[in-house]
Amino acid sequence: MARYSPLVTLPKQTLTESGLLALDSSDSEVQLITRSFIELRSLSPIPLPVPASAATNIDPNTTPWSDRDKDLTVTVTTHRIVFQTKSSSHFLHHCAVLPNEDGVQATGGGWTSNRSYKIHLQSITHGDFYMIFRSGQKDRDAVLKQLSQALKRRQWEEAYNSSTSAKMGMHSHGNTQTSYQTTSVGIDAILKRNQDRHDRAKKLTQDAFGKGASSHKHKVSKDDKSKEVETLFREAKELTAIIHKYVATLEKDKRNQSNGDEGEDTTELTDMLQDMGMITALTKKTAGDQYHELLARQISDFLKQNRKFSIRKGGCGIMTLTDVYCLYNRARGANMISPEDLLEALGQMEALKLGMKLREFEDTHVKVLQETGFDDSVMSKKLLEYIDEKEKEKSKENITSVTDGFKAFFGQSTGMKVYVGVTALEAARVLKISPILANEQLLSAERSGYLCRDVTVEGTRFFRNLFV
Amino acid sequence: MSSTFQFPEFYSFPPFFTVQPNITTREKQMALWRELILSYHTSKKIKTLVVHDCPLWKNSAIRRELSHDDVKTVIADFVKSGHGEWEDDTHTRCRILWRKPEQLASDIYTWAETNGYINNVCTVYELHSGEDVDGMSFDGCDEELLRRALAILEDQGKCTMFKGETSSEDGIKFF
Repeated sequence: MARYSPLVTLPKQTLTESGLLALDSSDSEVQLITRSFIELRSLSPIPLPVPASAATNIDPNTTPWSDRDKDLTVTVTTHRIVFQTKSSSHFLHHCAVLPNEDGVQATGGGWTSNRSYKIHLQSITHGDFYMIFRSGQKDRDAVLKQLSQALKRRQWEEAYNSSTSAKMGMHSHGNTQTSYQTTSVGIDAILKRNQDRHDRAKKLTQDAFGKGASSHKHKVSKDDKSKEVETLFREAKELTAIIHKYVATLEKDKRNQSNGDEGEDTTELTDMLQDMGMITALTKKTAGDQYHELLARQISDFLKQNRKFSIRKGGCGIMTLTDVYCLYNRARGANMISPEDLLEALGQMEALKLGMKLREFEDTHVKVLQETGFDDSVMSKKLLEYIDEKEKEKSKENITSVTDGFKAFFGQSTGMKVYVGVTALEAARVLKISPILANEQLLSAERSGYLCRDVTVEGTRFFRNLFV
Repeated sequence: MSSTFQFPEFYSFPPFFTVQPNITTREKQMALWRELILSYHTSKKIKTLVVHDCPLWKNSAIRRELSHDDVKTVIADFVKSGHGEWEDDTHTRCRILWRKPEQLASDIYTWAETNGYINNVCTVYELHSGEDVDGMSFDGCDEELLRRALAILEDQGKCTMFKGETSSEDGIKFF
């Protein structure tokens, strides 16, 4: 059902696989705050024009114009304001907001008229808007604070500058940027370039961590500590880039020293850093009510995208919560999430249709995260295959070494099949999952009749179920 | 008498010696145990199973044996199925009913018919140890069990019993 409302006149926001905002990482865009129950109302007296690119199925002549969209979720990033419904996401870039102080204003909260809390947003491209906060003043003020800060900071411009200069093969930092069109050539030039890079990195680190920040061109006031943290946030991206570079150099050096084995560690480190590149550290403060949902989406993205930590590692599609917790928190580095939050977030995954869900095993109540398409019987069959294979081998060995007592007891000697079964630890190795999970898989296979058990003092072994 | 008993293949299957937690699996397992106990005792012509002294519980070839509790479970299931009876209240000796009395009764009557005992008389002793019963299901059978089978036949009007000088000389007349 096509609606013709302010939302559709805004450009479309791309989302990740799990429905998170796809932030422009090359532009170091950072998510600042998210709030829900927002109404977006256009103050334009005439219907807003439908942008040519979005003219999918809306015909302004036939579809009635509605000047408002209700129940939106709004996310403010360093670059834009994103409005989301359950099904679609649109954004307004900060550069389209009036640059002077009138751009965003608080209004509302009156006694009789104009009671709801609003932000009056003046855009160059789409006229005036009201963002009405149904949840009250607190949310409005929080959003307004972030929004006006983002507008003042004008990060998108800086990012644009740095990205263009980065194309020239440099890590620019404003006016420290130097040209490489020097006359020096050969080794001299390389050395100089290295020296320059070193200096810039040093300066950047200083800028980011403390003192330098105050003298920085962003006019950060000296005593405002929170601003320093913001600076750190901003610079964090570039810092990682520098770390990358160091690692790369390190690796190169190692390789030059012709010791191939050592290089492996550094490669792994590089990979890790790349894998862990979290774009935005999601916090309770920025996400508000949506925290757990966003967390769920982010974890889902994290587990799907990273080669190393993929939930499909070893072709299983199942993970213990301990693993999820450790991997995810390690990727966050700081600002970790609590086990309770993880549990809550994972609990929402099924409803959000993220392709994975929380599962509790029947008897042991062990909780795991598994892909929705995950099938226990696939695992069971894998186990059976392994058991059969193993017993075949053992039987071959055994034919030649049957004891006399055995012969006497059975009245026959050769061709006897040997049953060896499988322990949880072995299963863990075969299925490439943790022993806890392997045990659960064995029990589940037993429940569904694929396996049966033998309990001895040595422990429990599982066998192909020959009874059924 | 057959001295070597051919053990079924699952007797060397270790899980056979652990009572299975899965109900469906356990039912099948118990059925196999019942079969094994019965066929072992019938083919070896053993009339009584002494619970603490039964070789079946242990398979030394694969170094596995039923635990004390599991033995109880298995034998209780066996008795419940009607193929065994406790000889005492302490549940240490179990009479193995090679055939259930009803089956035995019809076996005896078929034997009597084919061997010309209808309207003739034979003794209880002849029935379990006589020359004519070689290879029959009640050959060497427990006398108590045999009498129960005969009582069933009597109820059906297929024979009458009369007292002899000793209990094994009790006579049966088939109709």
